[in-house]
Amino acid sequence: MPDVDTTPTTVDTPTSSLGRPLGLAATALCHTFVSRGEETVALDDVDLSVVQGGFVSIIGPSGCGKSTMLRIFADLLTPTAGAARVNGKNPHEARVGREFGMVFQSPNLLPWKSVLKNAMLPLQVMGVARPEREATARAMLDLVGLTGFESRYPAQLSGGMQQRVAIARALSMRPSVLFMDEPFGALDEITRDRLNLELMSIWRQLSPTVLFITHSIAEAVFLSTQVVVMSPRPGRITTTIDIDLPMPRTAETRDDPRYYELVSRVRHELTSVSGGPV
Amino acid sequence: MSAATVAAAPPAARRKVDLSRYLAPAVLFGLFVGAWEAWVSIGDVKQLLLPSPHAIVGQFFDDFSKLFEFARNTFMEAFKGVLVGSLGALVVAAVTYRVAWLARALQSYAATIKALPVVALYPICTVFFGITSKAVTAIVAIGVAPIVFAYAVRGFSGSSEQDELMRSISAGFGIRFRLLVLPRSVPYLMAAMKTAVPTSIIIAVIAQYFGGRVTTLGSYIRRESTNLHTLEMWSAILMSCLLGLACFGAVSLADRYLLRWRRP
Repeated sequence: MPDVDTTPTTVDTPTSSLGRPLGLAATALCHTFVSRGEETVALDDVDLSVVQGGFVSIIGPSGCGKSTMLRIFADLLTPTAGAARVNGKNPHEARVGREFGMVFQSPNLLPWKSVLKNAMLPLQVMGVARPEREATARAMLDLVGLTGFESRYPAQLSGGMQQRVAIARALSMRPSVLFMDEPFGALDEITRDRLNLELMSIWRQLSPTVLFITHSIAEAVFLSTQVVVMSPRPGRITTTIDIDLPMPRTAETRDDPRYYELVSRVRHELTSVSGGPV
Repeated sequence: MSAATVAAAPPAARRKVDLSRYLAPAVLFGLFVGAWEAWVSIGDVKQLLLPSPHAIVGQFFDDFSKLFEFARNTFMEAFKGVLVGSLGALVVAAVTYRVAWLARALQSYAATIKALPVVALYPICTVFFGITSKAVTAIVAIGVAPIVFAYAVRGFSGSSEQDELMRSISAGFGIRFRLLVLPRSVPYLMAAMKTAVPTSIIIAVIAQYFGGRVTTLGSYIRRESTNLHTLEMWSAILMSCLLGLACFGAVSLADRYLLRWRRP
């Protein structure tokens, strides 16, 4: 079994071929799950580079290892082999250093805490003084358009609003990297489109490196600077497509002929890896 | 992202109390008391055997200050038992819930104890503590601890994406327990209290019946029963029922307040 790189990292941020520092890097990443004595290769020899401030979406059929890769970067899983780097550090150091925020598929809010207290949670864990954490959380809630809802409980919010709180919570630590695991997957199309626009606005303002997992081709193309297509069993990266749509992305971007070309291209790539129409 | 700010939050709507749900039980209770009253007066049932409801209520008000003092003493013995039993159960649950096999084994014991007539162990408590308040408190603690433990382990061990969230923000065990595990188990703990608190009153009254301080409801019921003072006995039973109901009501109110975040 190949070695897993868990060594502490000195500050030696790797760079892309164009000399830009990398926010995320995976080298020969492998992960195998063992269940009832049977091995399943979830990731096989995956290399990935995301420049700092880049927005990369990973798309692929179910079981292609998208979430596994994200969870390795987020230090929620240890890879069987290979190395993952977050701002040049191994995932454990990055997690302990609170370099990244995470948005899950379900909003994952603590239902007994108000919207404000949910948004403050990471800062509370970090031991930030109450006035400071409250000010930061209020600013983040304002950023996601939830001013006026601070004292509500999650059960009193719609699904889209709950996911906004989750985004505000992830942003409250001012992370340089944001991991988003199908955050809008459970929302209706209209809400999803609106949140896509809002996410773009946040990304422009705060410029985090974003790793975004999705099943939606349109969403991936609209949001990203790069779309990574993965194939299943074993999970591998088959294509990386640069999305050269103009910035800032707005509702009009979806009417751009280039947008349709890119959607079509991603769809073709997915069709070829899935072995059928998508 | 003020681009698409969500419309300002409207004030929360005032909740209307649905009185109709209380109507059927009230009517049923009225019919029961009416039938009892009619049976006693029409059938000329002797007060020694079964007093009429109105006579019991009359005696209840005549003896109210005495009964109230006895109820307070009974409540304190039960309350101390709930406190000791619950704290003990919570500590054991907090220490063991992460060790699945140990928690499972203890849950089996808790289930077994719950099925036993715990009050039968009261004589053993009196061996250790004498016929005192402490013995009653001890038997109540023994009776409620398995109930609280079973609910607490279920509440503590609920695993979910929330645990991953806490890990992703590097929350240590202590903070995770305080901010996630403990609050997450509150619905379970309140369910435990809804069972444990009325149970504690029942155990306390029965234990006092078999021996305890004379100024408690259980002891008074035994005395009056032995002396064939049926009316006084019934008024003390009425006070015991009211005490149990008041305790259940208090726990229900606490439940509504602590779990207000569940209401949409």
